[in-house]
Amino acid sequence: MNTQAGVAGPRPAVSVHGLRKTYGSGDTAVHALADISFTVDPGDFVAVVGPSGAGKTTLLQCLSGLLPPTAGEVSIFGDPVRGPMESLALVFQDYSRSLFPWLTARGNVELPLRSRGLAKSEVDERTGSSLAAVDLSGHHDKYPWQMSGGMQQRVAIARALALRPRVLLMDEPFASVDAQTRFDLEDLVLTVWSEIDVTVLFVTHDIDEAVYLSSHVKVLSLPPTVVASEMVVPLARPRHQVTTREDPQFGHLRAELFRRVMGLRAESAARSAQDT
Amino acid sequence: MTRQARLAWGMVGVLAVLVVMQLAVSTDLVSEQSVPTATAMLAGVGELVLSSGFLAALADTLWSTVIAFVAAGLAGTVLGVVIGASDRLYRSVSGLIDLLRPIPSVALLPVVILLFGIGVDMKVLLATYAAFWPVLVNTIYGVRDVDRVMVATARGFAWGRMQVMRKVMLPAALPFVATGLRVSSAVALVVVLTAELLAAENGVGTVIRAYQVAGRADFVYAGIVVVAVVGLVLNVVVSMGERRLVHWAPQHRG
Amino acid sequence: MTTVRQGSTRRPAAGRLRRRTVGLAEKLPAFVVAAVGWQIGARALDSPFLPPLSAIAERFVADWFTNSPGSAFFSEKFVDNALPTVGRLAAGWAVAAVVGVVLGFLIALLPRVGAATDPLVRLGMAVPPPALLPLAIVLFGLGSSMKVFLIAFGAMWPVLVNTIAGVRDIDPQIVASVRALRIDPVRAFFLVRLPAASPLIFAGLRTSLGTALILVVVAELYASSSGIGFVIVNAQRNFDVLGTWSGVLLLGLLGIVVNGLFLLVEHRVMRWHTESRRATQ
Repeated sequence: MNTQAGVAGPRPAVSVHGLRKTYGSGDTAVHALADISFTVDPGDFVAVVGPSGAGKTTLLQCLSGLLPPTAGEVSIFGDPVRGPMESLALVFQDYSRSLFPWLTARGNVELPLRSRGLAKSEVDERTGSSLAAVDLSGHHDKYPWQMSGGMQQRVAIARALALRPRVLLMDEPFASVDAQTRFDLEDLVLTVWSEIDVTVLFVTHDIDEAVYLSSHVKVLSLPPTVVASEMVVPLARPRHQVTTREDPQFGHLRAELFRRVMGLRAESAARSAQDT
Repeated sequence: MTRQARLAWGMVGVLAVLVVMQLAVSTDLVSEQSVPTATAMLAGVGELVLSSGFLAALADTLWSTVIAFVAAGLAGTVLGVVIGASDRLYRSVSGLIDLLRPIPSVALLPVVILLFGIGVDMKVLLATYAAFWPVLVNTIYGVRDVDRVMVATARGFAWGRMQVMRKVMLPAALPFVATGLRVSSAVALVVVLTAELLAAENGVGTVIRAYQVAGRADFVYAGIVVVAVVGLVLNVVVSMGERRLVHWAPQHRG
Repeated sequence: MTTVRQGSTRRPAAGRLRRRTVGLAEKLPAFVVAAVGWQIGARALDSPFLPPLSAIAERFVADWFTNSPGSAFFSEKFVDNALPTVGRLAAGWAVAAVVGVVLGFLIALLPRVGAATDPLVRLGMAVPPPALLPLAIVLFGLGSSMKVFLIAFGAMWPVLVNTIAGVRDIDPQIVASVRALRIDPVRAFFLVRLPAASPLIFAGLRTSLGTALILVVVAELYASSSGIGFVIVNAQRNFDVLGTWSGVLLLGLLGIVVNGLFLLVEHRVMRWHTESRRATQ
């Protein structure tokens, strides 16, 4: 059900096959996801883009096990997804509502770890190293409301990292922070990804960000959503905010991606004009 | 859960309580003096509602409540607007308000009795005092909470103070005043009832007290049910009025 | 490097002190005016039932305080009456709080239980609490257990209703986080659901405290042999005007102190909530 028959390669980190999500039934049915199929190789950094409304969040919710699909299969390293899994961690866009404001940074990161019955020393070690990985070592005892937006999102990332996931799903995590902070956070994610063994699936509406961060881009169409196209980003790593973005190839890739996304929008507009 | 399912479960709940009441008494688990049978209680409700004596008492209670509500509403709204509109006045008076507000008005019942005896005046005065606070506090809050930008814009039109107040502040404060009035109506009813329960000569509270002294648990329970229903009806009526008032307010904006 | 935004509570202590004293100075005139108004009004009315403040104050001190050696500070009358009142209030309110929160959670988390109890909860909320006094007497007679029951049964409704709302209206994002992070049910309850519902629960607790205070007064005014309410009504029946006022004053102070204490606790426990709200504005 996953890779092509006969190819004995390593199991894909993420394997999606025929994923469909429909709300309601009959005439009033809303086909959010129509037929999504793709794979992600282990250790890859994949960006998922699409015009606004393209069901990117719905896809992520199905991948993470929070939303049961209407049809199709999702597997993580060969294990089918039936609900939230140990090997997956999810970082939401709205950190102010996914972090718990009554807990400190340390408290937020620790909580899911304690749920897993780990020894106290292990919990402390993981908490310490995750918060260090996101550059928040001195801020363990701060509450979310004592931190800036960027810092809060870092706590959310640390919370995900502490779970030692094999696949990290990120749902437009930097959409709610200012531009400066966004650059810092982008580089942070790249650093973390390069240092640990994790596969990242990064949903964003920001085309520049998608090209800057990823090695592969999947472009989603408007509902009923399918994978409209895929793009390779062969830019050299490590990426750099200035030099990479200056690179002419960056400009070409960006323009191509922009064309594809805008094209999808025009296509959909034309289609709905036809229907009326 | 569908609406019908909710209703069905609701009825199951009420029925369960009535059945427990009935069984507890008929199997002598509890004495009839403490808990009436469900049938006795319901019969009591029927009798009360049809008794002219009880209805007269109810009219007395409601009339006192209405007077207190109107008096408190007027005083509270006027004072609330005056205090809310002036920042200096608010700051100077807020301490006194915060001090007096948490004092239960019921505590003043004995002194009010000393001053005014146990007639209707006493009930109405105490209820007015008690119902005054929610109106005052909510009105002040509503007037102060008015968008400063709106006020500044209105002042920019070279409108006089009174105009600004009439056209901007009061309509915007109306929802808060309405809330205060709703709360105060409930408070007025409660205080009137309390005064009746403890001391007064007429009114529903007096009737229920009499039944308690006479050991008639069925009528005590029945009376409470009736009082609850009266409270609910009052709440619904006032809420409708509140909605009417609030609906009217935004049209005055802009 | 991202900068750290300090919480808005970190103001220099000196400025805060200055603002507090200025605030107090502004508020004082109103009290003075009220007190003077009372004095003047009392002398003018010359009613035996409205004594001047000075007389009330004198009687208050005589009633409730003592300077006899060997006893702590409060008079015997205080110990014999204020303590029982506070005890009943505390016991009744504690029961109301616990029962209200526990039942509230059950009703909110179990849909069928919620639907079945909905009419009963609405009825309970609609009954004016003092009207429960005859009910309490019919069930428990005239003793202290009647008072504790009355307070508990009467004051639990705001807690119950607010707890139900707090649990039902929990931010779906929080629920999604709990699921995504696979937090175990016990921790999810105590460390997520309960704190998330706590702002509304606290609002309910605040209302219920007011109700509890009213109910202890009502119970003691009607049927008691001890307690501040008893002192008041006893004085009133004996036409001991100053004694009545003195008791009322103590009761008023009790209300203020109890409320003040609650606000202090709420302020501390709910700090994360007030600060978070402030931060998002």
